[in-house]
Amino acid sequence: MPTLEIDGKEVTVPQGVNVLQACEIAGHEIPRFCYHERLSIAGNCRMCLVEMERSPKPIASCHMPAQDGMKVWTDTEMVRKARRGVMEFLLINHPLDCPICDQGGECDLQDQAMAYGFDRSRYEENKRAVPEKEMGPLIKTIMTRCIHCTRCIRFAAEVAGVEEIGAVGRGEHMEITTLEQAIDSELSGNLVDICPVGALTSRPYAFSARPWELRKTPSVDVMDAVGSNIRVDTRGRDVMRVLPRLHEDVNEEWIDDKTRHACDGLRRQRLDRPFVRNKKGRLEEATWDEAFTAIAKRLKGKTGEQVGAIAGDQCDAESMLALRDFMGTLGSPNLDCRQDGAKIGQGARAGYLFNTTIAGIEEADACLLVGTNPRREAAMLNARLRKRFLKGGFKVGVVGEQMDLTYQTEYLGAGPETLQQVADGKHPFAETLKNAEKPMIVLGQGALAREDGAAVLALGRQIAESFGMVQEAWNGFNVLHTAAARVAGLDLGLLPGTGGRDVEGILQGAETGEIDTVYLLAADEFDTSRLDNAFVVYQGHHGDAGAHAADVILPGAAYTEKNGTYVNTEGRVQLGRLAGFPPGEARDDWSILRALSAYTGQALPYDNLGQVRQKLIETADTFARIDQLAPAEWEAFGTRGKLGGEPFRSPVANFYMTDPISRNSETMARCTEAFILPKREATGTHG
Amino acid sequence: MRNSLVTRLYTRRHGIHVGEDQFGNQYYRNPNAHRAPGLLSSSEKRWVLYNGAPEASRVPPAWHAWLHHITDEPPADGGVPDRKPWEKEHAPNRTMTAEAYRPPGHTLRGGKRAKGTGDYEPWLPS
Amino acid sequence: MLQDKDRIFTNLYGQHDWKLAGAKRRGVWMGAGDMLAMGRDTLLQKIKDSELRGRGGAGFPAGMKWSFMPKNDPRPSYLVVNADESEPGTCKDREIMRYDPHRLLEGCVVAGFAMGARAAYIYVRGEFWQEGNHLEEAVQEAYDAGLIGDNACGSGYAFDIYIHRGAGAYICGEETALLESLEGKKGMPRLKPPFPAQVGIYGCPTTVNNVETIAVAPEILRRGVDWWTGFGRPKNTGTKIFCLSGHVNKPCNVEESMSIPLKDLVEKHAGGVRGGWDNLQAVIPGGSSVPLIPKSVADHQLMDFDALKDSKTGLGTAAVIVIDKSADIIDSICRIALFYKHESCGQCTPCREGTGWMWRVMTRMVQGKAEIDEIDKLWDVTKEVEGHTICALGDAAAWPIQGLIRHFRPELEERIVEYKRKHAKRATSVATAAE
Repeated sequence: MPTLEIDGKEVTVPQGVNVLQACEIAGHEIPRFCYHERLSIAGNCRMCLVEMERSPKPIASCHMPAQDGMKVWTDTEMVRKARRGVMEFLLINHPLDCPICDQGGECDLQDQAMAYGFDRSRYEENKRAVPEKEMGPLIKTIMTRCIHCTRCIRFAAEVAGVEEIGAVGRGEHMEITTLEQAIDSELSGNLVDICPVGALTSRPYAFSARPWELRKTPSVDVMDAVGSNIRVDTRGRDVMRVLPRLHEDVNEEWIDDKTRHACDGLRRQRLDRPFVRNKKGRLEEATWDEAFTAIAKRLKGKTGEQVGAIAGDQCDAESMLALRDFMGTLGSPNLDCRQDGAKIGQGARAGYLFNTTIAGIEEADACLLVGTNPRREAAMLNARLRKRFLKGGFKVGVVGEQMDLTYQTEYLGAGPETLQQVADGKHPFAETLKNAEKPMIVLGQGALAREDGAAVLALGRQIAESFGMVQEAWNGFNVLHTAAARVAGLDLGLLPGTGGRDVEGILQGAETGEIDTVYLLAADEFDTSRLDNAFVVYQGHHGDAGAHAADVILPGAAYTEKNGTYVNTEGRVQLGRLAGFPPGEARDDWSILRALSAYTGQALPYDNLGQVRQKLIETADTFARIDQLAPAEWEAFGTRGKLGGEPFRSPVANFYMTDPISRNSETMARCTEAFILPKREATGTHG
Repeated sequence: MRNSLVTRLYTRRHGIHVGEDQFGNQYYRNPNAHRAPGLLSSSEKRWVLYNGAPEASRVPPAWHAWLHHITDEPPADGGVPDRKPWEKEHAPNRTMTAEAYRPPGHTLRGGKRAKGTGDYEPWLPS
Repeated sequence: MLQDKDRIFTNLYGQHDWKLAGAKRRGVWMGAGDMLAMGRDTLLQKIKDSELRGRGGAGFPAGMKWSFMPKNDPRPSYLVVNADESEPGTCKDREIMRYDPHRLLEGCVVAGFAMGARAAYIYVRGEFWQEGNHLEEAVQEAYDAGLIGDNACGSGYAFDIYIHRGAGAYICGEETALLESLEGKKGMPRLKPPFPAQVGIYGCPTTVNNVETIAVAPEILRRGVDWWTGFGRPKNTGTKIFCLSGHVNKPCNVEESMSIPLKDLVEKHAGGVRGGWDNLQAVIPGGSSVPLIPKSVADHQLMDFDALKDSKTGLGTAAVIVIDKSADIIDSICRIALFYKHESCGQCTPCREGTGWMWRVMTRMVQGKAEIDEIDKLWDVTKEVEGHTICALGDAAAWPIQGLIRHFRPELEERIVEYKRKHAKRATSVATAAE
């Protein structure tokens, strides 16, 4: 723990920090452009220069490690002159674009020029101009503004794992370029955050708002199960953009492209008024009263076995609790939240969580990925795996599809036979797992949403136990979900009751007529044509497959429009907040069910959000611990059985379109066109 | 509406005719009028007798400059540069006429307002 | 004046055989085995005592540099020879490489042994085609004769030498940029610390030295430290190859003693300044990176590191560029500024933007199309570049202009006044013509 003197005051800092971090700990802000805590040190902007004892030249504080007995000054004449000089140099070729530049108002160059620069320009020559570069449908580049800090190069190479950006040319003619190809990475949106000036800006967000007119709401993302912390920027009711929020243990400072750019789907195909299908079979606008009356009429006289409910992938815990209670009042055991048919949930909580925790990945030294493509299913988790890989000594084995995860993996095999071989110790990778101190296994939905899912789960459990993955302070058994609502649903017990049907059962029942009414809570990811014979009530926010099949449509709220509780794949409970009100007649989901319950006879016992949350905690006390993780007890789960023969396949085929919001997003469509379709055509697997 | 009686009388007594514009408005000046000392404008009084109803925006730009003491010489004597070929014909204020300006989104202009924050595409059954 | 018997580089002009046989006749490789037998510490101490300073431009004491190499490190150590001679005015290393390559190879073995290196990499400038060829052939001869390889000179020490060619960038002469280029990456300098002795090529301890420094080391050991320290003033010992070019009657390379007076050097070896010593305008004493000195300073200037530092310039690579009164000094410095703008790697802000700015202002100064206070502005800009960059190219770009402003300000001001007068006169003459 070195102690150094900064501006005359002594300060003790942790081992390994550099002088810039030490100055920040001491409370002195040092301006910088190229330095970023999560990237390697470049030291080329020269803005962080500070004066150090026994050094005739100022030193780059971002690079110099803090050592005992150093004397550093951050505000002397030498330092001021150096900063003014560097700022002057940056501004001589920087275009006067502030009025038309998207970064205005949140621009590092603006802020630091105001604070540390000179107040006029002495440059009388011509400024250089640089042609714009093509970087894909998400990043707009105006390279004249580039100050060559090389943060984008380092981010793409280190964090995103795609070495697609580089600098060509020497000296003045140095240009950052991708050689005119789009940046094919699911983390490419973070480049816009990283760039300190307006050289890389967000193309969907271009020219639409200024940061000071936006209201920023902290919330949680539901596009995948990671639960990345986001900040939703709204202007009035409209969500203008989504930015990451810092959470060291989940998503650090990044979010993936779907989280970031699918928000323009919130403006299209919104359900904003109730519909009821009339006698002619056409959906007609209705009032809430008419819609509820229609549902109550249909439910009158039906037994619990004739009703079924399926909860979707992006529901919040409050609405799922309301659904469960509602089905309880109808006496129906046919309730399921696993619309992909995954065979999980019965048994211990540890059997359906990502027990290692995302931050815990950094301590693992071997990993077995089974039936999952983390790059497409949970991009932030993949970034964490890559971060661990870069530290060295991390072996990753893959059972399932061959895929490029941005780090080196060993392909073990395609299906359950390989997994059995590893379990029996016959596969060479079993040695790696045995020799590892903290091994982990990740079972994805590609392995669990199948006929033999429960057997695969049991086999995974066996591997975890036999290779020492379950230790005192380490649990290497993980299930990676693809849906934000799954863990909350499982925690609340949205599973078939005694004698109840699961999703497959409900669909079969709907086909044969045994199930008369099906309640879909924003569930669109299955074949809704199987519900043709049943009376379908769809409560959701977008007009997707479910709405087309519905007989009564109840407009609900999307994730930015309600105060909801979401549980991510680690079992971490996080709160999402309302950033803008839902459109038209749409309402909060739990309140719709509460209102409906009044029409069907038994009103649900809560009238406001506080009471709902109280009931949540009573149902499952994990909901009392917000943003905390309690290790789950290692108890029984999974049922042994016969393994199938088909290879494991990841459920996410198109990363950019996996839920109603992203399917309706124009930006996601452009990304699909730019990244997914060319690959499909190249491999010949159309459609 | 005609020019007021007093204006016409004053013109007959003191007005020196300066010129006429393309619409028929007559321009006069009176060098002997008393104006407040210290004003930067010229010492004479300048006015217009409209050809028709008096309405200030009917004065074309060239004569407007002279009328408001911006130039010394009236357009008739070359005090104002020549009209350029791309200049439109002068038109008075169109308010209260059929050609009045209606902002985009006005009901008399189609009724479709510009896209605003919070607009969304509702789902409608096909 | 150095006598021929004291010269180290006896084949500087290529009049004798450069191959192994000829080199052996001139005394190269003689007693190399014994030198290695002296042991690492003795060798290091001798080099330290000789006060040999680096000949690549910085003048850092070689013995001290070699002693930074670790004694007990599991990683292999390397010696890298900087044969990327791109400093304008410098042409000494190429003569050593093409006419006396074995001296360099012997130096590699001895110096490499003294610092515990496993191998030497000689990074040759890409444009030096013949020099690289001669070196490669010399290396092959040395391997065949058992002078390098698993049992270098029969001492039991394993030492390899590899030749690598550059691709035409001045910045790759900077030691850390050279290491980057040698590793196959873009030649952009690294940040220091860590210094190459801790983290060098492939992350292993490395020492980077100039060709001449390495080539003289065996001779110092052969003829004795006292012989070496007999030349030059204290802390500026030994002999040096001076490259005399510019407006002299006989431009040449000559090996001379350090601390020789500049006037003697130019008059005795280069046939004097064109038109006589009084026709001298300025001298750039150490390659274009150091500030120039006017005639008044050159009259009694000694050519060594410290004396030139006292004159606010530097010895650099000892490439003496003589400029007589016929040259436009401002244009000369402007051309030098263009060189640095072209060769800047573009990594750090002051150099990338500053070199371009300085050159553009200089082009206007050549015409005089500026204001008087722009001279101070230009000085300020050079001060903003100097010392704030990652490597020394920023300093090297700033110094020539500082030298110009320091010694030739009257010239600059006169140019500006003249330009104003010429253009003001033209304006009035147009006006009179109109009337």
